[in-house]
Amino acid sequence: MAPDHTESADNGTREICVAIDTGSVDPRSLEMAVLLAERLKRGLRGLFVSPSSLHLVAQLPFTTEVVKTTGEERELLAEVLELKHRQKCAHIQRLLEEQASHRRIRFRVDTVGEEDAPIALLLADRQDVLLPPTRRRFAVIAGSAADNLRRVKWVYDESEASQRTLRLLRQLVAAGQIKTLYLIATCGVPRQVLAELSAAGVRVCWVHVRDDRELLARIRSGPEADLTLVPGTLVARIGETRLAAVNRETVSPVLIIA
Amino acid sequence: MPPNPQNGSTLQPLPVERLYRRCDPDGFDFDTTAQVEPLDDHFGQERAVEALRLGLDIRHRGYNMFLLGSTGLGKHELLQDYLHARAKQRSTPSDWCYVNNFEASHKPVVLELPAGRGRQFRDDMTRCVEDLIDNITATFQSDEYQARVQEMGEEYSEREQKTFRELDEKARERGVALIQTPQGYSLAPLKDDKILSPAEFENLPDEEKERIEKDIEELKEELKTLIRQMPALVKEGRDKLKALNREFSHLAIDQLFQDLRQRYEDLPRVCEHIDAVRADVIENADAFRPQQEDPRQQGGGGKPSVEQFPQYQVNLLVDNGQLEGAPVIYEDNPTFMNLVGRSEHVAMYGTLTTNFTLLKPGALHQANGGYLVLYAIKVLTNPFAWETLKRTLRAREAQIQSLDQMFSFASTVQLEPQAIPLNLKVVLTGDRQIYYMLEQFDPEFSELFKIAADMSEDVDWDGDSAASYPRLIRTLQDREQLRPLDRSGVARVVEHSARQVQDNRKLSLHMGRLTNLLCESDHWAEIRNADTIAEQDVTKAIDAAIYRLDQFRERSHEAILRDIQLVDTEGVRTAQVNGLAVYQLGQYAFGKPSRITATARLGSGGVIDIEREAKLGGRIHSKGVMILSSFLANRYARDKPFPLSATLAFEQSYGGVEGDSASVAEFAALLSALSGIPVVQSLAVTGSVNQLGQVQAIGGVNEKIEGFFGICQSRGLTGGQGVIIPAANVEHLMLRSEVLAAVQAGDFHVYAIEMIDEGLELLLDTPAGKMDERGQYPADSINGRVAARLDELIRLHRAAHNRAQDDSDDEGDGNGT
Repeated sequence: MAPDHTESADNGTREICVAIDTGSVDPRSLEMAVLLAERLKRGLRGLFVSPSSLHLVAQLPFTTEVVKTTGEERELLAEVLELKHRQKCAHIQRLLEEQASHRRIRFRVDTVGEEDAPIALLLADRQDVLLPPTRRRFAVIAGSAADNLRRVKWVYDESEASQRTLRLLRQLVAAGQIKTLYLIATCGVPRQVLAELSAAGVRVCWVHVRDDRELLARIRSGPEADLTLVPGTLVARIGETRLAAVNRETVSPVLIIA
Repeated sequence: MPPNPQNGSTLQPLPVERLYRRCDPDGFDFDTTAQVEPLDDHFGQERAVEALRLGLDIRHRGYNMFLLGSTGLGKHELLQDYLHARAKQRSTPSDWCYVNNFEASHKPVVLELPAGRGRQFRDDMTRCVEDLIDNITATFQSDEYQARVQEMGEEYSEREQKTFRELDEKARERGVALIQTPQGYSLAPLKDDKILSPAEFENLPDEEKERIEKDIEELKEELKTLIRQMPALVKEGRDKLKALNREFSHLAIDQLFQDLRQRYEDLPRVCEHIDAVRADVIENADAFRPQQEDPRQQGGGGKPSVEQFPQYQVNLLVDNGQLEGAPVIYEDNPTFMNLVGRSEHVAMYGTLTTNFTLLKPGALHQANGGYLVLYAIKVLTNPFAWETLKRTLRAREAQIQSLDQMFSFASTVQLEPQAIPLNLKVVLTGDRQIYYMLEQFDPEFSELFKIAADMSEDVDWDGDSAASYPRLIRTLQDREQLRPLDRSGVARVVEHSARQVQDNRKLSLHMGRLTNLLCESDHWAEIRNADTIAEQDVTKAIDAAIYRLDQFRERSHEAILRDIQLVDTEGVRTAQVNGLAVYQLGQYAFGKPSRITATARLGSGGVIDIEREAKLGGRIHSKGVMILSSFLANRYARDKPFPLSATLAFEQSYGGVEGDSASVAEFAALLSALSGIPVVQSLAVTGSVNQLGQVQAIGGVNEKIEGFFGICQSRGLTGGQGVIIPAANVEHLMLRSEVLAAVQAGDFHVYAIEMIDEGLELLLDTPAGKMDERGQYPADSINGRVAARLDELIRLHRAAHNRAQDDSDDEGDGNGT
């Protein structure tokens, strides 16, 4: 399976945007974002989402926080939240910079408010968006991100975004990643796509679903994957909130292709 | 010319034949030693060989051996022959391995395996770990395992989320949002699905605010309860995951361990260890799975390596796999650690640590099941080695222990490895002095070393030995790859061998010196391009060896020849005798004349040994002087007073005098002083005298004669010069060829005496004189003049005593008048 070069013209400027909620992200999971940027020859843009709603809560007169690990109750102070947010941003930024530098990819960060970075806008700007997992795996999977990009769930529709996703998949397969592909679709899948992927040594499991609800259920459950690829059109159909809910329930990152 | 027999002695000098025992080359029935058979046994060492055989055969406790004999006798060769021959007949002992003790890692377990299987077991365990890494990695990366983990994860995640979802829904029904914070949860009022700002909340009616706050408080309590339940849920999940891991670990490893166990099913203790390893692997299967890779490092893939699992390694302490028969170990440096082994340490995180893989064997481990040969002096002089050896032999087990552990020098991590049962024979080698010291001062020694194998230093020079000696030479010739010796060469070696032991009736068994002589003779034969070693080569080797060490003798004799040290070799002197001393410098000895003088006067102090008074005389020398003093009094003053004060001195002697070999000379000097008869200076004398006037044998007779001869020869032989020796020493004579030539020519003489009077007649050139029936000696004899002088001293003594008495009486009378 030869790599597809049709996108190489704008690869130099396109970026994968990673929306980073410092409150829930596992820094180690960001390694996948760096690996993808390298394999797909993209830049990487970290979008630190400022927890403005949490700040609002902290300003309420009676608000306290119940600590997750101990069940203790303590004050929730806006200044403390802000400080911790800044510390975590700095830590994640340093980590990403190190990894980006190691893999020789462009990297930049921005801080945005919760309401300033809707996925739709980014997609409209032809930016691919990576949603890191907020749930941690039940058992720690050892090895590097490269070792752990073997099983991919791909939501296929007949959109242009799906065609672009196919091209990205080709690049990943050519880079030696992806051994198993769970192809989830409400529509039919062109025979040549299946044949091409199979010929490249990828084990393709085609899962036909009736509607988007079943499609989301398949993303959430079924075989555990290392990455879920969805077309931007799906976001347009189901809305960002539902996608975010799915993201919260899976252990793999979701890459939304514009 | 010898002293005039008309005046003094009628004793004849020894004929030249008695000064050297020749070995007749024509007595050999071969042309060169290439034609004789090498010796297949140890010549002259029958006693030691029998003792060794007994020691090796007896299997009871304490039958270790001590091989006695001076350095160079061939102890090592003897042991090599007998121990190796015996070792080959014995079965090869077991291999010994240390393995981890999974119950207490500081107490490593020892395993005994048949020879050769220790190495196999070690390699099998290494391969097993390699296979474990592959199998476990593959098993835990399998789709089946991943699916089971995901299924389990979803179950627990769902249970957790459901719990919070229910609370969230309940809260929302009451207009409250459950919000995730960085470290927990918070609750905030909602309105139209949006969190109220502080201002909006303030604008609410008071009742509403109170209700919200009350609801939040109630929900908060529920939240706390939920959160406190979470650890139990997490633990339950973790336990289930562990169980799952165990299940898959079994799948990954059971077959491996089953195969391994089958290979060692005849060794129950090894199987026990394999079971312990299996149990530990199952508990720690996670360690075999690839670790999170550092993305900044290239390659590796995070896969663990065999080195990361030292706890499953096998420390093959003793490997007898390549051995045929029992081991024979020679430990040249028997330090404490080299004997009992050691536990090495490695630095880790700034501290020293150790484990069972760092245990190293000692000589006792390596010799287990065989023989251990140690130099006694080295065992005794290495700190703690002797005590440790005895303790180990008593306990019959080898325990690796460090000195710092024994004495708490340092508080590093220490091991207490299981002891290894010992079954070995220890052979100590050393000289007799060490053996007898141990016998005397260490009561445990005789219990642990019951067999003494005493090697002979020499052998009788008779027909048998004369026939065997060429065969011995042939053995050494083969061993050292030397040219054969012709008959003249062999004869010269035999003669030199007798000279080596200072006895013309014995031959030396000192293999070291004999080997050196043969090697050096071979060198001289090579220089003259000869195919065989002849007499001239042996003589050249002997002379060269003497020359190499002869500088001190030359300097010493030079001092005499330049009259710095006073020794007369002509004329006569009263109370002055040439004594003879021998200097032993390692293996080289030489003789030197030394002037002995005496004084005698009225007094009551007896004979005073100036050397002793100056603390330059040894105890044996003092004893000799006391004996001659007693002999003197007994001969001349048995029934009368002995009013004599005499002194004896070794002139120009500053380094101390030991031995009684000068007592004949001292007696002669004393009698010359008493009688006034001068002593012939062309003679030197050696010999000790007993209380009965018998002259007794001394040591170093050859060197002493050669020493005086050397001085006389340098000054020019007069024909009257010679040496007087005890008759008992005649059979020790093996003099150098130049002395023999001078004697043959009548230029030098050697006299052998049995009684002191024979020596006195030669030295004082006067008849000694025999006591007649009246108890009187002839007036002109030595004894007569000594007796007369003593009578005079008695008279003088009485006169002096009477004068003193008279003076005393006069003083008494004066007082009365």
